[in-house]
Amino acid sequence: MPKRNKRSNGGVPFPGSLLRCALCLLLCAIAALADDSAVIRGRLLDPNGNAVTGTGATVYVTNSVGGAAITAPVLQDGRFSFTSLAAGSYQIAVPLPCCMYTSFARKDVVVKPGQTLQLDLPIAWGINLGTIGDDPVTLTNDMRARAKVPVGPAPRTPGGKPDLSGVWATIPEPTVRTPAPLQPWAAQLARQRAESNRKDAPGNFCLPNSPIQLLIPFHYRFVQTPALIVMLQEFDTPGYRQIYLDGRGHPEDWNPAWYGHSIGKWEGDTMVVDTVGFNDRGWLGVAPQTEKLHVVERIRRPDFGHLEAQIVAEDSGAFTAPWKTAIHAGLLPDENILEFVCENNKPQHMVGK
Amino acid sequence: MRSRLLAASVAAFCMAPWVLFAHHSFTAEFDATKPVTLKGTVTKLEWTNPHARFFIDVKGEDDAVVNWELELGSPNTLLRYGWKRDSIKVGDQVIVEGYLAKDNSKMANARTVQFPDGRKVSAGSASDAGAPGAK
Repeated sequence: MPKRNKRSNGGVPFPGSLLRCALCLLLCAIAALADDSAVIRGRLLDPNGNAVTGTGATVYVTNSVGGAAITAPVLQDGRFSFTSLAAGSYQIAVPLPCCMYTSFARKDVVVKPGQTLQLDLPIAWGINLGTIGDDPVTLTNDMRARAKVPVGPAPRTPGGKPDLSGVWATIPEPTVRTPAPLQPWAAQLARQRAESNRKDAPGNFCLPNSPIQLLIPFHYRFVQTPALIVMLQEFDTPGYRQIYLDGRGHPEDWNPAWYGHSIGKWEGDTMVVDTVGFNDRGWLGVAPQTEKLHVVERIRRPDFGHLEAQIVAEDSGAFTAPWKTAIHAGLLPDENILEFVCENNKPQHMVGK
Repeated sequence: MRSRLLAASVAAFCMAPWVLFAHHSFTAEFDATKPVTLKGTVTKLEWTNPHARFFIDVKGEDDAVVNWELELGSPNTLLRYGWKRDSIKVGDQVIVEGYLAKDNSKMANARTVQFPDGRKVSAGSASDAGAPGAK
Protein backbone atom coordinates (compact mmCIF):
# COMPACT_ATOMS: atom_id res chain seq x y z
CA MET A 1 0.00 0.00 0.00
CA PRO A 2 2.68 2.58 0.83
CA LYS A 3 4.29 1.90 -2.49
CA ARG A 4 1.09 2.43 -4.34
CA ASN A 5 0.41 5.57 -2.37
CA LYS A 6 3.82 6.80 -3.14
CA ARG A 7 3.47 6.01 -6.80
CA SER A 8 0.12 7.59 -7.16
CA ASN A 9 0.95 10.70 -5.25
CA GLY A 10 4.33 11.80 -6.48
CA GLY A 11 6.24 10.57 -3.42
CA VAL A 12 4.13 12.35 -0.83
CA PRO A 13 2.40 9.38 0.76
CA PHE A 14 0.72 10.87 3.79
CA PRO A 15 -1.39 13.58 2.17
CA GLY A 16 -2.43 11.10 -0.52
CA SER A 17 -3.63 8.61 2.03
CA LEU A 18 -5.53 11.27 3.81
CA LEU A 19 -7.20 12.40 0.63
CA ARG A 20 -8.05 8.86 -0.35
CA CYS A 21 -9.34 8.13 3.09
CA ALA A 22 -11.50 11.25 3.08
CA LEU A 23 -12.80 10.33 -0.33
CA CYS A 24 -13.54 6.85 0.86
CA LEU A 25 -15.39 8.18 3.89
CA LEU A 26 -17.37 10.52 1.70
CA LEU A 27 -18.31 7.71 -0.66
CA CYS A 28 -19.23 5.53 2.27
CA ALA A 29 -21.36 8.30 3.70
CA ILE A 30 -23.11 8.77 0.37
CA ALA A 31 -23.57 5.04 0.07
CA ALA A 32 -24.90 4.87 3.60
CA LEU A 33 -27.32 7.66 2.86
CA ALA A 34 -28.39 5.96 -0.31
CA ASP A 35 -28.84 2.70 1.54
CA ASP A 36 -30.90 4.29 4.28
CA SER A 37 -33.33 6.07 2.06
CA ALA A 38 -36.50 4.11 1.52
CA VAL A 39 -38.81 3.89 -1.44
CA ILE A 40 -42.57 3.44 -1.56
CA ARG A 41 -44.00 2.77 -4.95
CA GLY A 42 -47.05 1.09 -6.33
CA ARG A 43 -50.28 1.48 -8.20
CA LEU A 44 -53.83 2.46 -7.45
CA LEU A 45 -56.06 -0.50 -8.27
CA ASP A 46 -59.84 -0.52 -8.57
CA PRO A 47 -62.01 -3.45 -7.45
CA ASN A 48 -61.95 -4.80 -11.02
CA GLY A 49 -58.18 -5.11 -10.63
CA ASN A 50 -57.55 -2.36 -13.17
CA ALA A 51 -55.24 0.57 -12.62
CA VAL A 52 -57.00 3.73 -11.51
CA THR A 53 -56.18 6.15 -14.26
CA GLY A 54 -57.19 9.55 -15.43
CA THR A 55 -57.90 10.95 -11.99
CA GLY A 56 -55.10 13.48 -11.88
CA ALA A 57 -54.82 12.55 -8.22
CA THR A 58 -51.98 13.13 -5.79
CA VAL A 59 -50.63 10.75 -3.15
CA TYR A 60 -49.73 12.28 0.21
CA VAL A 61 -47.37 10.60 2.66
CA THR A 62 -46.83 12.05 6.11
CA ASN A 63 -44.27 10.72 8.59
CA SER A 64 -46.02 9.68 11.79
CA VAL A 65 -43.55 11.68 13.88
CA GLY A 66 -44.58 14.83 12.09
CA GLY A 67 -43.21 16.97 9.35
CA ALA A 68 -44.60 18.14 6.09
CA ALA A 69 -46.62 15.89 3.84
CA ILE A 70 -44.68 14.73 0.80
CA THR A 71 -46.59 14.42 -2.42
CA ALA A 72 -46.29 12.40 -5.59
CA PRO A 73 -48.56 12.53 -8.62
CA VAL A 74 -50.54 9.50 -9.74
CA LEU A 75 -49.35 8.95 -13.28
CA GLN A 76 -51.58 8.18 -16.22
CA ASP A 77 -51.05 4.44 -15.73
CA GLY A 78 -52.03 4.61 -12.05
CA ARG A 79 -48.48 4.40 -10.71
CA PHE A 80 -46.92 6.55 -8.02
CA SER A 81 -43.47 6.59 -6.49
CA PHE A 82 -41.75 8.13 -3.49
CA THR A 83 -38.00 7.89 -3.40
CA SER A 84 -35.50 9.11 -0.80
CA LEU A 85 -37.90 8.70 2.08
CA ALA A 86 -36.51 8.47 5.58
CA ALA A 87 -37.21 5.10 7.17
CA GLY A 88 -40.20 5.24 9.48
CA SER A 89 -43.93 4.98 9.76
CA TYR A 90 -46.12 6.91 7.36
CA GLN A 91 -49.71 7.83 6.75
CA ILE A 92 -50.76 7.60 3.14
CA ALA A 93 -53.72 9.51 1.76
CA VAL A 94 -55.10 9.78 -1.74
CA PRO A 95 -57.99 12.23 -1.97
CA LEU A 96 -60.11 11.32 -4.97
CA PRO A 97 -62.93 13.36 -6.45
CA CYS A 98 -66.50 12.19 -6.76
CA CYS A 99 -67.83 9.87 -8.17
CA MET A 100 -65.97 6.83 -9.41
CA TYR A 101 -63.66 6.22 -6.48
CA THR A 102 -63.47 6.66 -2.74
CA SER A 103 -60.62 8.60 -1.21
CA PHE A 104 -57.95 6.35 0.28
CA ALA A 105 -56.25 6.64 3.65
CA ARG A 106 -54.01 4.23 5.56
CA LYS A 107 -51.95 4.68 8.71
CA ASP A 108 -48.84 2.94 9.94
CA VAL A 109 -47.17 2.08 6.67
CA VAL A 110 -43.66 1.18 7.81
CA VAL A 111 -40.57 1.32 5.63
CA LYS A 112 -37.16 0.19 6.84
CA PRO A 113 -33.83 1.76 5.93
CA GLY A 114 -32.98 0.98 2.34
CA GLN A 115 -36.25 -0.84 1.73
CA THR A 116 -38.25 -0.56 -1.47
CA LEU A 117 -41.84 -1.12 -0.47
CA GLN A 118 -44.11 -2.19 -3.28
CA LEU A 119 -47.53 -1.03 -2.17
CA ASP A 120 -50.56 -1.29 -4.41
CA LEU A 121 -53.43 0.70 -2.95
CA PRO A 122 -56.89 -0.87 -3.19
CA ILE A 123 -59.25 1.92 -4.19
CA ALA A 124 -62.90 1.30 -3.37
CA TRP A 125 -65.66 2.43 -5.66
CA GLY A 126 -67.28 5.73 -4.98
CA ILE A 127 -70.97 6.39 -5.24
CA ASN A 128 -71.22 5.16 -8.83
CA LEU A 129 -70.00 1.64 -7.95
CA GLY A 130 -67.83 1.37 -11.00
CA THR A 131 -70.68 1.72 -13.45
CA ILE A 132 -69.43 1.92 -17.01
CA GLY A 133 -69.66 5.40 -18.48
CA ASP A 134 -70.74 7.12 -15.31
CA ASP A 135 -67.74 9.07 -14.15
CA PRO A 136 -67.77 12.76 -14.98
CA VAL A 137 -64.27 13.17 -13.56
CA THR A 138 -62.35 10.72 -15.70
CA LEU A 139 -64.37 11.86 -18.70
CA THR A 140 -63.51 15.49 -18.06
CA ASN A 141 -59.84 14.67 -17.57
CA ASP A 142 -59.83 12.62 -20.77
CA MET A 143 -61.47 15.39 -22.75
CA ARG A 144 -59.04 17.94 -21.38
CA ALA A 145 -56.08 15.67 -22.16
CA ARG A 146 -57.06 15.44 -25.82
CA ALA A 147 -58.17 19.07 -26.23
CA LYS A 148 -56.00 21.20 -28.50
CA VAL A 149 -56.15 24.51 -26.69
CA PRO A 150 -54.63 27.59 -28.32
CA VAL A 151 -52.22 29.56 -26.17
CA GLY A 152 -52.64 33.28 -25.83
CA PRO A 153 -54.54 36.02 -24.11
CA ALA A 154 -58.25 35.89 -23.52
CA PRO A 155 -60.24 37.07 -26.52
CA ARG A 156 -62.15 40.31 -26.15
CA THR A 157 -65.47 41.51 -27.42
CA PRO A 158 -65.74 44.52 -29.76
CA GLY A 159 -66.63 46.48 -26.61
CA GLY A 160 -63.29 45.52 -25.06
CA LYS A 161 -64.57 43.14 -22.41
CA PRO A 162 -63.16 39.64 -22.02
CA ASP A 163 -65.24 37.13 -23.95
CA LEU A 164 -66.14 34.17 -21.76
CA SER A 165 -67.78 32.31 -24.65
CA GLY A 166 -66.75 28.73 -25.24
CA VAL A 167 -67.18 25.19 -23.98
CA TRP A 168 -65.58 24.81 -20.58
CA ALA A 169 -65.13 21.96 -18.13
CA THR A 170 -64.76 22.58 -14.44
CA ILE A 171 -61.52 20.83 -13.57
CA PRO A 172 -62.05 18.09 -10.98
CA GLU A 173 -59.98 18.97 -7.97
CA PRO A 174 -59.29 16.05 -5.68
CA THR A 175 -58.12 18.48 -3.10
CA VAL A 176 -59.52 19.93 0.01
CA ARG A 177 -62.76 21.80 -0.43
CA THR A 178 -63.95 22.86 2.97
CA PRO A 179 -67.64 22.16 3.41
CA ALA A 180 -70.04 24.98 4.11
CA PRO A 181 -70.25 25.85 7.82
CA LEU A 182 -73.70 24.59 8.68
CA GLN A 183 -76.15 25.40 11.44
CA PRO A 184 -76.96 22.38 13.64
CA TRP A 185 -80.23 21.54 11.88
CA ALA A 186 -78.56 21.74 8.50
CA ALA A 187 -75.56 19.68 9.62
CA GLN A 188 -77.91 17.00 10.96
CA LEU A 189 -79.84 16.90 7.70
CA ALA A 190 -76.60 16.76 5.69
CA ARG A 191 -75.50 13.76 7.78
CA GLN A 192 -78.80 11.98 7.21
CA ARG A 193 -78.57 12.62 3.49
CA ALA A 194 -75.05 11.24 3.35
CA GLU A 195 -75.97 8.20 5.46
CA SER A 196 -78.87 7.38 3.16
CA ASN A 197 -76.55 7.53 0.16
CA ARG A 198 -78.33 10.62 -1.18
CA LYS A 199 -81.33 8.63 -2.20
CA ASP A 200 -83.51 11.74 -2.12
CA ALA A 201 -81.11 13.97 -4.07
CA PRO A 202 -82.93 16.13 -6.61
CA GLY A 203 -80.90 14.65 -9.46
CA ASN A 204 -82.39 11.24 -8.75
CA PHE A 205 -85.75 12.73 -9.70
CA CYS A 206 -84.37 14.46 -12.80
CA LEU A 207 -84.27 17.79 -10.97
CA PRO A 208 -81.24 20.13 -10.90
CA ASN A 209 -78.07 18.68 -9.41
CA SER A 210 -76.67 21.84 -7.86
CA PRO A 211 -77.73 25.43 -7.21
CA ILE A 212 -74.20 26.45 -8.22
CA GLN A 213 -73.77 25.10 -11.71
CA LEU A 214 -70.07 25.88 -11.91
CA LEU A 215 -69.42 23.30 -9.18
CA ILE A 216 -70.62 20.44 -11.34
CA PRO A 217 -67.46 18.77 -12.66
CA PHE A 218 -68.76 18.49 -16.20
CA HIS A 219 -68.82 20.71 -19.24
CA TYR A 220 -70.90 23.70 -20.20
CA ARG A 221 -70.97 26.48 -22.74
CA PHE A 222 -70.95 30.17 -22.05
CA VAL A 223 -72.61 32.25 -24.75
CA GLN A 224 -71.83 35.89 -24.10
CA THR A 225 -73.65 38.86 -25.61
CA PRO A 226 -73.43 42.46 -24.40
CA ALA A 227 -76.68 42.17 -22.44
CA LEU A 228 -76.85 38.49 -21.52
CA ILE A 229 -74.68 35.51 -20.74
CA VAL A 230 -76.26 32.10 -21.23
CA MET A 231 -74.78 29.03 -19.61
CA LEU A 232 -75.67 25.70 -21.18
CA GLN A 233 -74.82 22.88 -18.78
CA GLU A 234 -74.82 19.39 -20.28
CA PHE A 235 -75.24 17.48 -17.07
CA ASP A 236 -78.33 19.02 -15.64
CA THR A 237 -82.01 19.54 -16.22
CA PRO A 238 -83.09 22.07 -17.49
CA GLY A 239 -79.42 22.85 -18.01
CA TYR A 240 -79.67 26.48 -19.09
CA ARG A 241 -79.02 29.51 -16.97
CA GLN A 242 -79.31 33.19 -17.84
CA ILE A 243 -77.21 36.02 -16.42
CA TYR A 244 -78.58 39.46 -17.23
CA LEU A 245 -76.00 42.18 -17.98
CA ASP A 246 -78.43 44.89 -19.03
CA GLY A 247 -78.36 46.74 -15.74
CA ARG A 248 -81.56 45.38 -14.31
CA GLY A 249 -81.75 44.54 -10.62
CA HIS A 250 -83.26 41.52 -8.96
CA PRO A 251 -87.06 41.52 -9.17
CA GLU A 252 -89.06 42.50 -6.12
CA ASP A 253 -91.59 39.78 -6.67
CA TRP A 254 -89.95 36.56 -7.69
CA ASN A 255 -90.98 32.97 -7.42
CA PRO A 256 -88.11 31.05 -5.85
CA ALA A 257 -86.37 28.91 -8.46
CA TRP A 258 -83.79 26.15 -8.74
CA TYR A 259 -81.16 28.32 -10.40
CA GLY A 260 -82.32 31.60 -8.84
CA HIS A 261 -82.13 34.98 -10.57
CA SER A 262 -78.72 36.09 -11.81
CA ILE A 263 -77.49 39.56 -12.73
CA GLY A 264 -73.94 40.34 -13.76
CA LYS A 265 -71.67 43.33 -14.18
CA TRP A 266 -68.08 43.87 -15.16
CA GLU A 267 -65.56 44.98 -12.58
CA GLY A 268 -62.51 45.50 -14.76
CA ASP A 269 -61.95 42.13 -16.42
CA THR A 270 -63.98 40.24 -13.83
CA MET A 271 -67.59 39.28 -14.41
CA VAL A 272 -69.36 39.54 -11.06
CA VAL A 273 -72.57 37.51 -10.97
CA ASP A 274 -75.02 38.01 -8.15
CA THR A 275 -77.70 35.37 -7.70
CA VAL A 276 -80.65 35.32 -5.30
CA GLY A 277 -84.15 33.92 -5.52
CA PHE A 278 -83.27 30.28 -4.99
CA ASN A 279 -85.84 27.80 -3.77
CA ASP A 280 -85.18 25.72 -0.67
CA ARG A 281 -85.18 22.40 -2.50
CA GLY A 282 -81.70 22.39 -3.98
CA TRP A 283 -78.80 20.42 -2.51
CA LEU A 284 -75.33 21.83 -2.21
CA GLY A 285 -73.65 18.46 -2.14
CA VAL A 286 -75.62 17.10 0.79
CA ALA A 287 -76.07 20.46 2.49
CA PRO A 288 -79.53 21.99 2.53
CA GLN A 289 -80.24 25.53 1.43
CA THR A 290 -82.99 28.00 2.19
CA GLU A 291 -84.57 30.76 0.16
CA LYS A 292 -82.03 33.10 1.78
CA LEU A 293 -79.21 31.60 -0.27
CA HIS A 294 -77.17 34.32 -1.97
CA VAL A 295 -74.33 33.43 -4.32
CA VAL A 296 -71.68 35.73 -5.78
CA GLU A 297 -69.44 34.36 -8.50
CA ARG A 298 -66.44 36.39 -9.65
CA ILE A 299 -65.53 34.91 -13.03
CA ARG A 300 -62.32 35.64 -14.96
CA ARG A 301 -60.74 34.34 -18.12
CA PRO A 302 -57.05 34.85 -17.31
CA ASP A 303 -55.92 33.54 -20.69
CA PHE A 304 -57.35 31.86 -23.76
CA GLY A 305 -57.59 28.38 -22.31
CA HIS A 306 -58.62 28.99 -18.72
CA LEU A 307 -61.54 30.22 -16.70
CA GLU A 308 -61.64 30.69 -12.95
CA ALA A 309 -64.27 31.72 -10.48
CA GLN A 310 -64.23 32.76 -6.86
CA ILE A 311 -67.53 31.77 -5.29
CA VAL A 312 -69.05 33.06 -2.07
CA ALA A 313 -72.33 31.59 -0.86
CA GLU A 314 -74.25 32.97 2.08
CA ASP A 315 -77.36 31.49 3.60
CA SER A 316 -78.35 32.89 6.97
CA GLY A 317 -81.04 30.21 7.16
CA ALA A 318 -78.64 27.25 6.91
CA PHE A 319 -75.01 28.42 7.21
CA THR A 320 -73.21 29.93 10.17
CA ALA A 321 -70.86 31.97 7.99
CA PRO A 322 -70.30 32.70 4.32
CA TRP A 323 -68.87 29.75 2.46
CA LYS A 324 -66.04 30.48 0.06
CA THR A 325 -64.70 28.27 -2.64
CA ALA A 326 -63.22 28.48 -6.12
CA ILE A 327 -63.23 26.58 -9.39
CA HIS A 328 -60.88 26.39 -12.31
CA ALA A 329 -62.07 25.41 -15.74
CA GLY A 330 -60.35 24.46 -18.96
CA LEU A 331 -61.45 25.26 -22.50
CA LEU A 332 -62.63 22.37 -24.69
CA PRO A 333 -62.51 23.99 -28.14
CA ASP A 334 -63.78 20.99 -30.08
CA GLU A 335 -66.57 19.85 -27.80
CA ASN A 336 -70.26 20.51 -28.14
CA ILE A 337 -73.05 20.49 -25.63
CA LEU A 338 -75.30 17.53 -26.29
CA GLU A 339 -78.96 17.21 -25.44
CA PHE A 340 -79.58 15.97 -21.95
CA VAL A 341 -83.22 15.33 -21.20
CA CYS A 342 -83.36 13.46 -17.93
CA GLU A 343 -86.20 11.02 -18.34
CA ASN A 344 -85.33 7.71 -16.85
CA ASN A 345 -83.68 7.78 -13.45
CA LYS A 346 -86.05 5.29 -11.77
CA PRO A 347 -85.94 6.73 -8.24
CA GLN A 348 -88.32 4.02 -7.08
CA HIS A 349 -85.27 1.77 -6.82
CA MET A 350 -83.35 4.20 -4.60
CA VAL A 351 -83.45 2.30 -1.34
CA GLY A 352 -80.79 4.31 0.41
CA LYS A 353 -78.71 2.56 3.05
CA MET B 1 -48.29 24.35 11.16
CA ARG B 2 -48.92 24.30 7.47
CA SER B 3 -48.24 20.59 7.20
CA ARG B 4 -50.47 19.88 10.17
CA LEU B 5 -53.21 21.87 8.54
CA LEU B 6 -52.70 20.04 5.29
CA ALA B 7 -52.70 16.66 7.00
CA ALA B 8 -55.82 17.58 8.94
CA SER B 9 -57.50 18.81 5.81
CA VAL B 10 -56.63 15.68 3.88
CA ALA B 11 -57.91 13.56 6.74
CA ALA B 12 -61.09 15.61 6.91
CA PHE B 13 -61.57 15.24 3.20
CA CYS B 14 -61.12 11.51 3.38
CA MET B 15 -63.59 11.12 6.20
CA ALA B 16 -66.21 13.59 5.19
CA PRO B 17 -69.02 12.38 2.98
CA TRP B 18 -68.93 15.72 1.25
CA VAL B 19 -68.85 16.30 -2.38
CA LEU B 20 -70.38 19.37 -3.81
CA PHE B 21 -72.17 17.67 -6.54
CA ALA B 22 -75.13 15.43 -5.85
CA HIS B 23 -74.43 12.87 -8.52
CA HIS B 24 -76.84 9.99 -8.98
CA SER B 25 -75.93 7.65 -6.19
CA PHE B 26 -75.58 4.05 -7.28
CA THR B 27 -74.89 3.20 -3.67
CA ALA B 28 -78.51 4.11 -2.93
CA GLU B 29 -79.67 1.66 -5.56
CA PHE B 30 -77.16 -1.18 -5.63
CA ASP B 31 -75.40 -3.15 -2.93
CA ALA B 32 -71.61 -3.07 -3.10
CA THR B 33 -71.49 -6.21 -0.93
CA LYS B 34 -73.51 -8.24 -3.44
CA PRO B 35 -71.55 -8.67 -6.63
CA VAL B 36 -73.18 -10.67 -9.38
CA THR B 37 -72.10 -12.17 -12.67
CA LEU B 38 -74.81 -12.67 -15.26
CA LYS B 39 -74.52 -14.45 -18.59
CA GLY B 40 -77.27 -13.96 -21.08
CA THR B 41 -78.70 -12.67 -24.34
CA VAL B 42 -79.48 -9.01 -24.89
CA THR B 43 -83.20 -8.44 -25.39
CA LYS B 44 -83.60 -4.65 -25.29
CA LEU B 45 -81.71 -1.36 -25.05
CA GLU B 46 -82.80 1.95 -23.61
CA TRP B 47 -80.52 4.72 -24.84
CA THR B 48 -81.98 7.25 -22.40
CA ASN B 49 -80.67 9.90 -20.00
CA PRO B 50 -79.41 9.99 -17.40
CA HIS B 51 -78.65 6.28 -17.70
CA ALA B 52 -78.55 3.92 -20.62
CA ARG B 53 -79.89 0.49 -19.82
CA PHE B 54 -79.87 -2.90 -21.44
CA PHE B 55 -81.79 -6.03 -20.63
CA ILE B 56 -80.65 -9.62 -20.88
CA ASP B 57 -82.37 -12.99 -20.65
CA VAL B 58 -80.53 -15.21 -18.20
CA LYS B 59 -81.25 -18.91 -18.05
CA GLY B 60 -81.18 -20.34 -14.55
CA GLU B 61 -80.19 -23.84 -13.46
CA ASP B 62 -83.84 -24.89 -13.71
CA ASP B 63 -83.92 -23.62 -17.31
CA ALA B 64 -86.23 -20.82 -16.28
CA VAL B 65 -85.39 -17.60 -18.09
CA VAL B 66 -85.28 -14.38 -16.12
CA ASN B 67 -84.96 -10.95 -17.71
CA TRP B 68 -82.42 -8.69 -15.96
CA GLU B 69 -82.07 -4.93 -16.28
CA LEU B 70 -78.53 -3.56 -16.35
CA GLU B 71 -77.66 0.07 -15.82
CA LEU B 72 -74.90 2.07 -17.51
CA GLY B 73 -73.82 5.71 -17.42
CA SER B 74 -75.39 8.43 -19.53
CA PRO B 75 -75.53 8.06 -23.32
CA ASN B 76 -73.61 11.34 -23.67
CA THR B 77 -70.74 10.05 -21.56
CA LEU B 78 -70.75 6.67 -23.26
CA LEU B 79 -70.70 8.42 -26.63
CA ARG B 80 -67.61 10.34 -25.64
CA TYR B 81 -65.96 7.09 -24.61
CA GLY B 82 -66.55 5.86 -28.15
CA TRP B 83 -69.77 3.91 -27.64
CA LYS B 84 -72.52 3.93 -30.20
CA ARG B 85 -76.10 3.04 -29.65
CA ASP B 86 -75.51 -0.31 -31.34
CA SER B 87 -72.39 -1.09 -29.35
CA ILE B 88 -74.55 -3.59 -27.57
CA LYS B 89 -77.14 -5.15 -29.84
CA VAL B 90 -80.20 -7.25 -29.28
CA GLY B 91 -79.09 -10.85 -29.57
CA ASP B 92 -75.55 -10.28 -28.29
CA GLN B 93 -74.34 -12.89 -25.83
CA VAL B 94 -72.74 -11.05 -22.95
CA ILE B 95 -71.31 -11.67 -19.52
CA VAL B 96 -71.94 -8.80 -17.15
CA GLU B 97 -70.41 -8.13 -13.76
CA GLY B 98 -72.17 -5.75 -11.44
CA TYR B 99 -73.82 -5.29 -8.08
CA LEU B 100 -77.35 -6.38 -7.23
CA ALA B 101 -80.18 -3.95 -6.61
CA LYS B 102 -80.95 -3.30 -2.96
CA ASP B 103 -84.68 -3.67 -3.52
CA ASN B 104 -84.20 -7.24 -4.76
CA SER B 105 -85.54 -6.45 -8.21
CA LYS B 106 -83.83 -8.13 -11.14
CA MET B 107 -81.46 -5.24 -11.66
CA ALA B 108 -77.74 -4.61 -11.43
CA ASN B 109 -75.30 -1.96 -12.50
CA ALA B 110 -72.84 -2.95 -15.21
CA ARG B 111 -69.22 -2.53 -14.21
CA THR B 112 -67.82 -4.92 -16.81
CA VAL B 113 -69.36 -6.29 -20.00
CA GLN B 114 -67.67 -9.13 -21.84
CA PHE B 115 -68.53 -9.87 -25.44
CA PRO B 116 -68.33 -13.26 -27.20
CA ASP B 117 -65.05 -12.36 -28.88
CA GLY B 118 -63.50 -11.81 -25.47
CA ARG B 119 -63.51 -8.03 -25.47
CA LYS B 120 -64.19 -6.81 -21.97
CA VAL B 121 -65.31 -3.27 -21.29
CA SER B 122 -65.01 -1.78 -17.85
CA ALA B 123 -65.29 1.51 -16.06
CA GLY B 124 -62.38 3.85 -16.00
CA SER B 125 -60.52 6.21 -18.20
CA ALA B 126 -61.33 6.15 -21.92
CA SER B 127 -57.66 5.76 -22.58
CA ASP B 128 -57.56 2.30 -21.05
CA ALA B 129 -61.13 1.07 -20.79
CA GLY B 130 -62.33 2.16 -24.17
CA ALA B 131 -65.53 1.35 -25.90
CA PRO B 132 -66.84 -1.97 -27.11
CA GLY B 133 -65.45 -1.23 -30.54
CA ALA B 134 -62.15 0.21 -29.36
CA LYS B 135 -58.91 -1.58 -30.00
